[in-house]
Order: sequence, then structure tokens, then C-alpha cells
Amino acid sequence: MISELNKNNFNSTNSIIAELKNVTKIFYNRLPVIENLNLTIFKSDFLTLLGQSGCGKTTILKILCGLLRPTNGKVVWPTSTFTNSENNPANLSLVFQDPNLLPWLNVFDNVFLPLKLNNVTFQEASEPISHCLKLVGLYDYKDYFPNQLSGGMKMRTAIARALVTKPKVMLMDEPFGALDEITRFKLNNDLLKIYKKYDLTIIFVTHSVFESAYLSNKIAIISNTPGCLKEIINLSNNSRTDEYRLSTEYSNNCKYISKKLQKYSNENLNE
Amino acid sequence: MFPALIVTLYVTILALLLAVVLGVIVAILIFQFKIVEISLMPYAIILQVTPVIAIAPLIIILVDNTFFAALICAWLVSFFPILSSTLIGLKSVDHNLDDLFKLYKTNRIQKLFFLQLPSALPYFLSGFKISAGLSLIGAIVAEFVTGIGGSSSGLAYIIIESSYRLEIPKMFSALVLIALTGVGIFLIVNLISYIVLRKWHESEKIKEY
Repeated sequence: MISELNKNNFNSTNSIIAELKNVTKIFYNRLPVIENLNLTIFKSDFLTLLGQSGCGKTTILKILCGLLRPTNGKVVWPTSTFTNSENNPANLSLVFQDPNLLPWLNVFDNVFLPLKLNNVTFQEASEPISHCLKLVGLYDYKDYFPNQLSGGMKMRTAIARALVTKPKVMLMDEPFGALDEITRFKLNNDLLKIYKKYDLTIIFVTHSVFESAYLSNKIAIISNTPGCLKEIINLSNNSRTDEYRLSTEYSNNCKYISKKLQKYSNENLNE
Repeated sequence: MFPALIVTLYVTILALLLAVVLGVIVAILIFQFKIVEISLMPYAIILQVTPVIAIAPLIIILVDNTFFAALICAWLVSFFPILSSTLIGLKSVDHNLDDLFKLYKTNRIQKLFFLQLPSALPYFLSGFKISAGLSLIGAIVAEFVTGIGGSSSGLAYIIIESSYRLEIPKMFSALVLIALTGVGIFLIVNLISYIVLRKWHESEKIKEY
């Protein structure tokens, strides 16, 4: 069942993957988007950042992977601390909100891209690429170009591209936001399978309470303007299958999370 | 008539190829180095906005060889569309894809060849289409201004000559040949654009209903 924990007070013995320390981000000298955010990510976490649209979830993710610089505070990856965008910790993949495929490359070459940029030859790459394409069920479509694919297939290509570098950490920014429910459920299950199989650490951004309750074992609730981490909810990690979606435990979790989310967003409105 | 066509075509195609090569190279240099933009762009714009018919006599005085003079005239008009459209293409890379490449920690060369140049391709081709037509116009204008006959005379010279002699049918046939050449160039350029873009770009995509 749900166990409530204070911010950053984990009894976990897992090693730390990344840490955000007092991170504040201000764009164009306006109101802060994120204020004094502290977040620790442990190995094998499936951490969901949950919050309303525009609360800075994507910004947190971009700061974490080095695409944005925090105005204040720092991002700590073990062994290396960095605050500029040139540094990007190895073994990290990002799946964007949009598939972001290169339109002039077919599915196979899109998945090949991150390896090709690291000077991996075609012979060496073809096996892992085929493996990843089979994993997301797109092996038969490897000659297709992105404009011949459906939205879900494009997203799965993007996931295959993220997996082909064998990352330890995956950052996902509302990857299934634009998909229909059935496709989303299917991809959710696929993602969980991949997560377990490769022992990944996933940081997932979404505004959907249901998705977060289904996927993650930790949910970080982010409040609105400025984005602050309000609470981390731990969920027990039982088997997440389609039956789980119908269980009372799942619906109770959803209810609980959505109440919390509402509470924190109202808090800010009343200020 | 036929040797004249060859002369005109030769000037047109050579000028177009020069415009493509130099246009793309200069666009890349301008895009990569701010200093090149500051130092080259003013001249490029001045050359572009001055009508070629006004510069042509000067070029013919400065350049002894009439062939090279014609080549320069044709190149002048076809260079700028390729330069400016390629440059816009290089600058308008999707910022999300740019982020993706930043995460991959690519260097400038990799980014240029794997991201920026392919993104600029449709833009380049639209400039190429404009330039292909313009280079024929440039070649004809140059021949008009030089007005030199003999073995190296092009189609425009035939028009001038036949107008002096009032050989209207000959004039028409030269005119029709120029128009057909223009259409031919247009078709070839469109075919190139179709072959390059048909698989992935919206503009050449075959839609199925």
C-alpha cells in the first residue's frame, strides 16, 4: 500500500544516480519556473514527476540532462558535478515529448543514428538495432520513413533509439501524451517490461495521474508556478499488468494521488 | 541553330553548377563563422540587387574572354537564391533535433553533415529551382550584351542577328528553342528534387487516399 515519506528521506540502500540540489531556474529574469528543488534519484527508481501543465516538469528534466543550466543550485551526478550543457553523463537517454525522428532517415537508420555518431560501424550495430526494433515490435517496419508511420510507431522508434545505446538512465518527457489509450496501455506495459529486463532507472514526466500510478514506484508531486517538489509518494512495486488497472488498489492509489495533486495546486491558487 | 543551343546550354549549366557549389560552400561558411557573414554578405547583396543587365557591359570590358564574361553574368544571377535559401535552411533546424544532437555530444562537423545539411536540403532545392531558370536568363542577357558572333555565338546572338536581317521565322525558332530549353531545365530540376525528397519530405510525398 501507499507509504508516505518526507522529502529526501528514504530508507533505500540503493546507490544514488543523480541529485538536484537547491535548483532554481529563472527564464528571462521573470518569475522562477522552478524554485529550490531538491530531488534524489536512486538506482532502479521508476520516478514520475507529476504536475499540471506548465509547472516546470520538462524544465527539471532538461536541467537534469544538461540541456538547460540551472540559474541557482546544481545537478550532481556521482563522480562528476556539472552545471553546463557540454557535459552529459554517459549512459543516459532522453525520450522527448515528440518522437523527434530525423525525417530523412528510415526507422532503421534513425535507431542507428546514436551509434553512428559514436563511430560504431554498421556491422557492429546491426545486431543491437535489430534487437531493439524487435523489442518495440517494429522490426518489420525498419525500411519505413517516419512520415509513413503512425504516432505510436514513431514513439516506439524513438524508444528503440533511446534503448540502442544501452542506457542506465532513461529520461522520458510525456512520451505517450499524444497517443490513444489502447496504444498507451500497450506501450506502458512494454516500457515496464523493458524497465525490468534491463534494470533501468527511469525518470518519467507526465500530467496523468493514472499513468503515474500505473508505471512508477515513486511519484514526485510538483506544484505550480514556481515548480516545487511537494511530496514524494512511494508505491509498492507489485506486478503491473492489465489486471492491475482494474484492481481496487490501483484505483485507491489514483484517488490518493489525485487528491494530493489537487491539494497542492489549490494551495498555490489561494496564496 | 544547334551549335548555338549547345553554347548557350554550356554557359547555363556551368554557371548553375558553379552557383550550386559556391552557394552551398559560402552558405556553410556564413553559417559556421559569424565573421564571414559580416564580411561577405554586403557584397553578395549588392551583387544581387544590381540588375545583371547593368553590370554586364562592365564585366565584358573587364573580362577579355566572352565565354567567361557570359559565365560570370549567368553565375551572378543564379548564385544568390541558392546562397540565401541554403542559409535559411541551415538556420531553421528543428530545435528539438538540435537538443537531441546536443545530448549525443556531437562535434560541429557531425552536426553539419548529419543534421544541418539534410535539414537544409528542401530549402536548397527550392533555391536551386529558382537559380536554374535564372542562370538561363543570365546566359542570354550576357550574349545580348556581348553581341559577338562567330563560332562561339549562342541563341541570343541568333535573335539579334535575325532581327537585323528581318528574318522573323529564324528569330521565332531561336525564341522557341530558348523557351524549350527553359522548360527542359525546369523539368530536370523538378525531377532531381522529386528523386531526392520523395521519400521523406512533404513537398514531394506521394499521397495515398
